[in-house]
Amino acid sequence: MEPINLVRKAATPIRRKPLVVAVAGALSALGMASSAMAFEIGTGNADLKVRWDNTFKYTAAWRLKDPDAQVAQGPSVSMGANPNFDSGDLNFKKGLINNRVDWLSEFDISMNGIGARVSGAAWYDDVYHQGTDYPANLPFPNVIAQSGFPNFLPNNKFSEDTKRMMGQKAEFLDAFVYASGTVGEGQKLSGRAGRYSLLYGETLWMGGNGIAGVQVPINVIKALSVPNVQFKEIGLPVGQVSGNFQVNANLSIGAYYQYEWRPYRLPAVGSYFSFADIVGAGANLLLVPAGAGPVNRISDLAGTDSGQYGAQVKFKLPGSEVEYGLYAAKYDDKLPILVWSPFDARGVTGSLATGGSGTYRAMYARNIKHFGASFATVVGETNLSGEIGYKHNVPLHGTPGDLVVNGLPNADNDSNTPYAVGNSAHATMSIIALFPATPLWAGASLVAELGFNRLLSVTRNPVNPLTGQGVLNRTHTRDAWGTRMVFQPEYFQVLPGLDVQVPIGLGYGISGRSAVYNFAPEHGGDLSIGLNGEYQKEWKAGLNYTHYFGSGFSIGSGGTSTTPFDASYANPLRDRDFISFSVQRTF
Amino acid sequence: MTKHTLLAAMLASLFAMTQHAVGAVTAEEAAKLKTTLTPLGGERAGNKDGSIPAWDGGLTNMPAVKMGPTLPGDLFANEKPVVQINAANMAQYADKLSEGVQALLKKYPTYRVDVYPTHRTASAPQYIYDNTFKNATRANLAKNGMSVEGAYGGVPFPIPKSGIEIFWNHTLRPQATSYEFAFKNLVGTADGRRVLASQNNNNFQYPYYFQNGSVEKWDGVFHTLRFITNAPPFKAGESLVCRDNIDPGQGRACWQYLVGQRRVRRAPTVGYDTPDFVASGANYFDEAFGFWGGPDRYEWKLAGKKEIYIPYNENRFFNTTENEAFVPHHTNPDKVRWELHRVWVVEATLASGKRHAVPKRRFYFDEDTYSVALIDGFDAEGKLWRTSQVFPWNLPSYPLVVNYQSFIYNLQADTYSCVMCLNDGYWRAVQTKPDSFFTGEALGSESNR
Repeated sequence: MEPINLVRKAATPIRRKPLVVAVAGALSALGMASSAMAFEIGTGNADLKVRWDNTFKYTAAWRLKDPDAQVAQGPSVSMGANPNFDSGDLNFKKGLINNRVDWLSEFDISMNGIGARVSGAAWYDDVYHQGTDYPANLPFPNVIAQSGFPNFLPNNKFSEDTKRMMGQKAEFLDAFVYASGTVGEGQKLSGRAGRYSLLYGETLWMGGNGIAGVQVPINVIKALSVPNVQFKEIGLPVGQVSGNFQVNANLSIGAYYQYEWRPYRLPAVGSYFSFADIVGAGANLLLVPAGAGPVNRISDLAGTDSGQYGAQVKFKLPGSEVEYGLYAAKYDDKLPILVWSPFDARGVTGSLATGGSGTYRAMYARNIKHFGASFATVVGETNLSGEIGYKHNVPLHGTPGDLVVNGLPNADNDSNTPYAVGNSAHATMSIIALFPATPLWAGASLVAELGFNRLLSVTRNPVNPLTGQGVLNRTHTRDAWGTRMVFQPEYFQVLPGLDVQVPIGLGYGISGRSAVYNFAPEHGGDLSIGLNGEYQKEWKAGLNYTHYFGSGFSIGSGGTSTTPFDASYANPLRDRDFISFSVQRTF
Repeated sequence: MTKHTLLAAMLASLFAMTQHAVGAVTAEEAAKLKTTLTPLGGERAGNKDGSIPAWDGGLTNMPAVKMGPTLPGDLFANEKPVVQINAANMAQYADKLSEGVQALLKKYPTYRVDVYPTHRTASAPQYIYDNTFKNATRANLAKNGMSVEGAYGGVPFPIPKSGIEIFWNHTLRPQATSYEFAFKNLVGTADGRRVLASQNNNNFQYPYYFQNGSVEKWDGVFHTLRFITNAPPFKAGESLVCRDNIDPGQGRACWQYLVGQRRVRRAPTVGYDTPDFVASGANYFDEAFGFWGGPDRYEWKLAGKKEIYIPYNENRFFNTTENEAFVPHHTNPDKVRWELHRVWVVEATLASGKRHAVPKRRFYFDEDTYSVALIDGFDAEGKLWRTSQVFPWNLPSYPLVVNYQSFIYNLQADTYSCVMCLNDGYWRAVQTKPDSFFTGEALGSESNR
């Protein structure tokens, strides 16, 4: 693929100059000032506790190789390149991909079991304020100005939405109030209201395979850019009320109601971890594989702010140390399904019937039910947990690689769906083990999770008007298995005041291509090794290398030209190995 | 099988059975707890030269004392050291110094043992004395020494006959029923600085010491704890609940709160030689609180009683600010009080088929409180590796000697760890909390970070 090796644009050298020096200087100045600062603010009232913590983090990351044309464009060269999936890959040559400062601010106030918490995050990444490395001789636009054609945005620039999401943003995270107290004889009642994350169940990484994924939309940007990040750290808070009633030491009941629905935060179009140009911030253009022309995006069909709630019961049986949980929830999906309606006359180019190409939109499936059960115990010296679940009316497009072609005139995301739905079964098992000192390490931990799911039945499979076949992709398998694990040796006081950890992580799609929740690319995944240090328990720094493996293609276009609308289940990040460096301090 | 080996095997199994039931003493022997022994089982008399005085009621006979910044004030503030031991003169006191203390004197020229007059402050409320007296004749070792039955609300074996009984006396030593305190875990680095590993608010509760409980009513949970970390800021909100059960089948169960997701997870292996994540791995979990171990990894051999210098009556130390309480590499010798006390010496060696990073340990238990006072830990080559010190302090109003605060020196790595340092913190007895407070569920539903 000749076009990729182009001369670097004039703008690019600027973003190759890291902010490291300036930021390190600023941080150390803060560090000097901070010795007099207190994280816990004195209030003069022993019961009133107020604290305000601020974490500053600098991250730089580098891509290790130039893009591989085949990975960027998919396997079906005969179809032409695959311009709907390529810009995240082609926008970056070898070199700097992050040059970013993060600020996390957390404020807590509490008094006698009643309190409030507000937190927020802001970031600036200089990389997204520079140009891209997208090859100039590829004619395909990534985005267009929404107002009309043919105002294609030049490919050597990030879209405004991408710049905002990745390059410069501030937002509130948590904002909630809470109260807890004792009622009756040792029974405890607690409640929260506001915007926060609440997770039930026992999953660690594979929240989407359990009850946790029902409750929390995921920040996929963070999930992909922070190696081995656990599910708990990537949840986006949503508006809700929840309560927990602890009947006694062996029985508790909890419930929640979400008055806000939020979707997954997918990588913005053209950002480094982006795997599709047709979804995520900045996505407004679908280039139809059949070559009928550009398709503009119309409004999403979203989830509802009233249709999501659930409950749990957690209990222990007499004389047993095993904790059990039972869960039931109703929810709207948070992962978009991309639906192309070729015959929609609202398209800027008109309907396919009149030589145009229709419209496309993201739909979020509504009214899914989840029932689950879990256990947690300690076997020997290892924490062992497991969770099973059953999903009813679940959409069967578990990766955004499927493009659903809609022929229904009044398609919606409720009962007249253009996409396939069905029922599925899920199981997840995990261990956490700590290891004592050996000559190889002072301490070590292993955290590992194994997931499985099965498509039990397909209850709806509308016809693709262009192929005459069902929209359910033909690339999926009934069963899928995946795993993720991190082994982390630790070394204490390597130098005075310095503790070191060496996390070694693996995520792997063992077998299968799930239509419901896909763990990892089939026979592919990611492998990472890091070196994390904590100095004086004040400074944290990390160096990490991530390698992607498996069959590397774009997530769409199924692998052959006979399945142009089906997910490939390949690894779109196959050629995006990177190393990252970060340093942070909390004040 | 020959006749002899058969006989030996039969005798051995018979012996094992009697071992099983060992613990309780006869009523005549128990009566000594009211005559020649203190109510908790120490020798009431002083030693020959009077350097250890007779026990005469402990804290109940002490004058009132004002509250200090953290703890009740020093009862003996006006006393001066009778002996100051340093590397130069330690040889003449060697028989009264543990191996670990001698090693510290040799290693750090700034280390010093200031010996003060001995005060036998050990005391407990009357109901603990009463229960201890009852335990003497009713409590027995169970499950091969790995558990205790028939004991409640007092020292289980006030007239101990074996090392394992003394281990249980330490583990079930007299406690305030329920209390909360703020503490720091500090790590001393090889270059002589101090790092705050964590600062925490903690609740301890001892269902074994509930005044209205009894052997029959007690469910076997003897200690529950719950804490939340406040600093360093990136650890703020981390918390842990643990429940220690006398039944070794249940043992210790801990739940860890996972910051950010408002749920808890059963924690694996909070104990033995797992690096203590609350103290940044600077000590093993079983080195917390003096000794926070299960007994099963070791064979416990009672080596006798001895008079040695141990830290005692340390209210002054914890009423001192952290900055003044420490000097590079160790505690500030000006603030630490050592006294001559009788201790039980117990040798713990790795049990067959077990593993532990510290294969051999020598424990020194205070005769008056049964709390561990010093521990020397040896590596696989038999070389002294780590040495622990417990700093007991007085709570005259209760009355009780509290013994949790421990210092673990790693002589090979040149580091130390203070677990539950009270300096600049607070300590207060509180109303008994409902048992459900000490559960993973409560931790998950009440934590907010």
